[in-house]
Amino acid sequence: MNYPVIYYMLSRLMVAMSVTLLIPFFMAIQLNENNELDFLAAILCSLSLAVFFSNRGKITTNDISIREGIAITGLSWLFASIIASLPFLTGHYMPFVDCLFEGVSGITGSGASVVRDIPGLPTSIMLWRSLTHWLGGLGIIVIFIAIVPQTGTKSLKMFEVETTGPTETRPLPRFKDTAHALLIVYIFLTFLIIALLLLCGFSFSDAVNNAMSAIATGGFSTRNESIGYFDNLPAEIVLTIAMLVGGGNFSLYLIAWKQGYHKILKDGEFIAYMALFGFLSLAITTNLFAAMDMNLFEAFRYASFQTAATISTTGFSNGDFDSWPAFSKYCLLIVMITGGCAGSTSGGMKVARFLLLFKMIHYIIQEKLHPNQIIHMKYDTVERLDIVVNRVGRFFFLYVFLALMGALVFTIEGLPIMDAIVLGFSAIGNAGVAFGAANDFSTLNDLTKYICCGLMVVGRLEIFLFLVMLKPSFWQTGASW
Amino acid sequence: MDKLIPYLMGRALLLCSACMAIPFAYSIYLDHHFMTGVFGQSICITLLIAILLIKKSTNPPESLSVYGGAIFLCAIWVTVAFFGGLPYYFSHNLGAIDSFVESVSGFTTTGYTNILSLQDPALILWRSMTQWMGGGMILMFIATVLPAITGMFGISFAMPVALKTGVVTINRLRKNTRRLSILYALLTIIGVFFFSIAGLGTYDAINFAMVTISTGGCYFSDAYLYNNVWFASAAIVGLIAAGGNVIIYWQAIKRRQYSMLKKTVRNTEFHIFVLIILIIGLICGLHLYHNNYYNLSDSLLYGFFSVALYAGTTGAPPFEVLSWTDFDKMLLIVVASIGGCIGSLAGGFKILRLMILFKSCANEMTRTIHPDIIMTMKIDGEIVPSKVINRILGFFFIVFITVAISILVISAAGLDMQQSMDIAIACITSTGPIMLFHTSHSEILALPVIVKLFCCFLMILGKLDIFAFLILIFGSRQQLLHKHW
Amino acid sequence: MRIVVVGAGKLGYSIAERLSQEEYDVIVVDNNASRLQNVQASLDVLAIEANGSSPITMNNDDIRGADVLIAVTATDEVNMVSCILAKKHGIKRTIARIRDMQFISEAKEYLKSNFDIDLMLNPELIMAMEINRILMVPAALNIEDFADGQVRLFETKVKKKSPLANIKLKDLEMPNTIMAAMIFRGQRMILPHGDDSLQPGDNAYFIGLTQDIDDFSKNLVERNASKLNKVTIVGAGRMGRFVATMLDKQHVKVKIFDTNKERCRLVASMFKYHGKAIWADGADINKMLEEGINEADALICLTDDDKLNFLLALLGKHHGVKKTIIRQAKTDYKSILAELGVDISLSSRLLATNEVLAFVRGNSAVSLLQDARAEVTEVTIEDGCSVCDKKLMNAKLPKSCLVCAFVKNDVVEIPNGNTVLAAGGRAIIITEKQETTKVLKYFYN
Repeated sequence: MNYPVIYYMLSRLMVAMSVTLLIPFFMAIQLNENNELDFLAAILCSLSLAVFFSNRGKITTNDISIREGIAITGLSWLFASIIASLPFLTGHYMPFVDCLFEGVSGITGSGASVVRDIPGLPTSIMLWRSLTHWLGGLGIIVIFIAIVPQTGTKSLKMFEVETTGPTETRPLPRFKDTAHALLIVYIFLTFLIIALLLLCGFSFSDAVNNAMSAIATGGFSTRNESIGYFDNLPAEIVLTIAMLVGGGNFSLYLIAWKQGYHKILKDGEFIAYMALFGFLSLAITTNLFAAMDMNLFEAFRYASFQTAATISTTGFSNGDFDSWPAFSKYCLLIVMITGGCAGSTSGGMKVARFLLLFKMIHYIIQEKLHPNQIIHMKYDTVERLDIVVNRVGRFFFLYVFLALMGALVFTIEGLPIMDAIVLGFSAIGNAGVAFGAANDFSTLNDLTKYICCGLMVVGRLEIFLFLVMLKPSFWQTGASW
Repeated sequence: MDKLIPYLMGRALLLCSACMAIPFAYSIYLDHHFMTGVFGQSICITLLIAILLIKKSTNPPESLSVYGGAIFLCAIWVTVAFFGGLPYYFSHNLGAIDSFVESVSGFTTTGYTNILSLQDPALILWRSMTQWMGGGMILMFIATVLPAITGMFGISFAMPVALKTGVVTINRLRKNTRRLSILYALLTIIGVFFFSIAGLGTYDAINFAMVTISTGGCYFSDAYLYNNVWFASAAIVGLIAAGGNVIIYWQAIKRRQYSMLKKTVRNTEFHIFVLIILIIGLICGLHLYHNNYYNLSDSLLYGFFSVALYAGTTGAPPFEVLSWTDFDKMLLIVVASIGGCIGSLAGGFKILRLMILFKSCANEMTRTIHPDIIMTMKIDGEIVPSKVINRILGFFFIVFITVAISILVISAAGLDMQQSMDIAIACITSTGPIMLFHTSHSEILALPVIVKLFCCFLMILGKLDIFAFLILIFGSRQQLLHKHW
Repeated sequence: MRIVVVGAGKLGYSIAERLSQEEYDVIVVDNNASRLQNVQASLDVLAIEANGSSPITMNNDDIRGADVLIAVTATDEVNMVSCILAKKHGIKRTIARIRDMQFISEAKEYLKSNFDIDLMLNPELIMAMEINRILMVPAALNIEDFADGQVRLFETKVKKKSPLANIKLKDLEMPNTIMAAMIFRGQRMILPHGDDSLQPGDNAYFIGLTQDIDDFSKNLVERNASKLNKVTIVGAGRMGRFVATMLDKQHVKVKIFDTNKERCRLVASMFKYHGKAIWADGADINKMLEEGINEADALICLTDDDKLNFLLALLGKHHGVKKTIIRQAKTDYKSILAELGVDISLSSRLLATNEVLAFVRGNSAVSLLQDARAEVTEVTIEDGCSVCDKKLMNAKLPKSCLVCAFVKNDVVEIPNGNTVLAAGGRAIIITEKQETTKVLKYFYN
């Protein structure tokens, strides 16, 4: 394990985070919010970490191996989570566990908030919350690669490791260009949404924060009632589209940009994603219309927004979905577990994985019915398919297992079973939506919050990454034996 | 192939009517004329259909294809359950649908009952017998039909070599039926023996033994269970026996290699099964004590006892458990889902499969660091072929999807998510009492017909390992659309 | 002595070649004419085109009643049948090559008692055991055991900083149970005297009591490098599998590479502890570096391709592997290889041939050293031979021979001039190869 390189990368990252902290810092000064010192303290903390690492860090000429890639990515996320929590800590807004929760929830793009009175927060803190979403959404590493010069093939490993989803698509030959392009698309979309929201009548602060939250599919909002507060139909439409876009495969967008937009329509995963969205929002609409006191239009408004919010694991809401009938809530649970497309900013299992799993089942059945037939599984252009499929199967198992284990602990702490299970899936899927007793995250007790933090990080890091880091033999110096 | 299935059904129904003769005789013995009439009617109808079926399919072909086997499996449960439900219907205790549900619940050893306080001894006996017969059917299918048709996701790995079957033939079915029934009867007699020692009368002992060995779980006289330590332990013993791999027992006896019996206890899967019961039982007991439900010894007793019964997918009778906290209930749901050992009468996902899944994930961890590594998994010194691992991963997914869809369907009837989940899991793992965790008995009775039928479907699906049903669907689709091409 | 070799493949050829050099009467049998042609053309042997496992062949005058039959065809079963038939036709001793792993563990006794096969030859296993032995002693380039493991010959390279360098042998601090047996300097073979000293670059051979040799060897190694920890093996054929499982059982961390997935799977299923099988091409140096070959204590190249083995070893050495062992069919290049960076090269064929030779000679163990220029032989002193019961200084053995150890009644002795070479005892001698047969006559009746 090449520790010097790891330290080097981490120090660079800490510097980057410090720079990011400057934004709310300056804003706080500008708006006279009296909490500049908090940010200053946070900046100093992260800078000192940067110095600490940089002293031990050294770039060597060797390429980094997979282990270093994993270590850097994993540690980056861990440290980023801590730094994300810092401004809350230094500002003494909440007890420690809540600060950690808010920070982790921010950077992992979950969007579960424990803040009781959101509008009462200083604007700079609100901006910081949205910033954490924005950074974590695309991926710290991606942004890092795109901005920081002088990262060569080493960073390829880290990039591979962080990209969500079972396989990797490369829209551009040099991945550094890919990272660049992704960042540009991301920024572009953010500005677009901000502009549209401003047009819909949002205030500047509301527009910026909610736009960042939407494209990063995070879920922090500027009001306690989330988007429902505004009761602004055009804005809801904009946000619905924004969230759906956020849940799509960004690499696919790049490819479409280069090779034509019809490519998007041909992508199997995207089609399945939109189909799932369409089908379930219609189902919920029907259910709401039949069971609750709403007309068809209203039902559709709430259903589509909420479904988009949940499938993209954003977590916005435009109504009180907790009061919906069980069927609708259950549909939401389904899309929460499914998640968005691979290579998106959303969480969940990812549609691509589900598609692969279904194909796997189909294959097994065919094999049983026609034992002598040799069937070749096809899935777009993936080679070494059997290894991928098996990996996806195991991922699925661990995903469900971890969510249920978390749920078990939650029940000890008093949550009813179903609410616990939903919370478990919500945490590991970075959704930020929960039902029943867990609907208001601030009411959860401490142990539950800690475990949620853990699950959120594990989910963002796509499980294996995180679990591998737990093995002591992973960290030994020298190559892995 | 077309003729073989009705033939087999006919024979099964023949057996069914033979079994019905027992409560029939019992009613005569008790001078209950009404019940005698009820059973008499049922026997006549069943016998008639059986004879018709057999007559119609003379000279049946020798073997079943995979597709045929799937049809057979799906159909037989439905058929036997239908005719087995006749006594309930005729005795006017239940309507048509509810009789069917009651019967399915019995045969699939789920153990949920529509009639909470059944009085008539002959009918009670029949109810216990349906569970007992269901257990026997499961055993038989495990040994003969299932491996060929579904590969049973791991059973072929766990079984001694001689049982790996290819095509299913009548001869094999016949021979195995006889042998297995003897084994099964033996186990039941041991159960009866234990219960008698525990202080039960003959009638009670027989009923309880049948219900426990088959992992059905539909007891009566609930009060008994919690006050009598001997009885509790008898139940647990019977259960652990059912939780172990019955096929190995059979193999050992058939080959007179009694040393093989050691294998049932020596394998890792069984150890884990016992370990789970002990640890989770302890946690449950302590938690009960912590929440001041009972004093320490009672808490532990109830904890272990309940966990043991749920782990074997029998399910303790409702009362006490219903008032426990959600954490305890979740523990019970979890152990029921985990299930028993592969090749046993218990339901659930099966421990061996979970073991393989976990080991597989551990291997995947290593593969993250060494992408090109080739690893083999060994359990008890035997290599697990990668095909089996693959299938089990797929199976986990299938189960998850099935449960997810089931919850969706059940919730459409108006129950909340928690209740829907309870019912779905209860049906698939054939652990009936879970249904009552958050739903009252009357709410279940009031469910729409479609949902009840869906639950029957789920219960049968649980016994089919879901997969046989999928083969049925896909096979039929191919038959209809492509005609084998 | 008349010896029949059934099977004129590579091993058969080597054995026939060696035996004929030893001036035995060799008959080679094979049913493939071109192979036979090859043999007949270059060796001084009788070649018969026939089916070696047929009774008709066995009845042949040249074959019937021979002293030894060596069956080394490609098929184990044919070899076994050959040996069975041989015994029935009056051939006194039989050797069969059996490669199949399942046969090995209980095999020896089984084969002897059921088929009366006197020696079972498994070249891959022999080589694996050789590698295992060498690896277990870090400073060693070669290790040979004699007298049932009581006497050990140990070869090491004298490095610049070695504690042995430039000291006269008589001043060297060694226990008197071991002695310097031979020195190879440049291309010369030196039988050392007290005034000779070891110089850097020499290959030195020490022989003595096994335990003392081991202790002595430990002093020659840098402190940290004492225990074998990580080994990389390229090639998961039979040999690779044998070595890998042997090392794995001794809790060494083994990584084995092969380009064939099935072989990887096979060896992966045999690992009990830390072994890892990786499906990758050993020639992909980046992958190998990623897997840490530069940290391995030893790199063992056992593919079918000699050139590849050689190349990989060089690459490995370049990247810092401490010890490289390769499999080479031809043994002529050993000293050159050593200069280039391959520490040890072994040939399974050669090792198997040695075993055969030892067996044929009866009661002796043979090892070939340094490009087969010298031989170490363990020989029993027969009653009535020319040296028996004489003191060493009176035995008048030729100068090209050095008696390194003498074992009698399980007592091992490093001989001096006064040691009596008692009958029935065993002597371990080093000779220049061409002198061996001549020297051995001194010990036979």
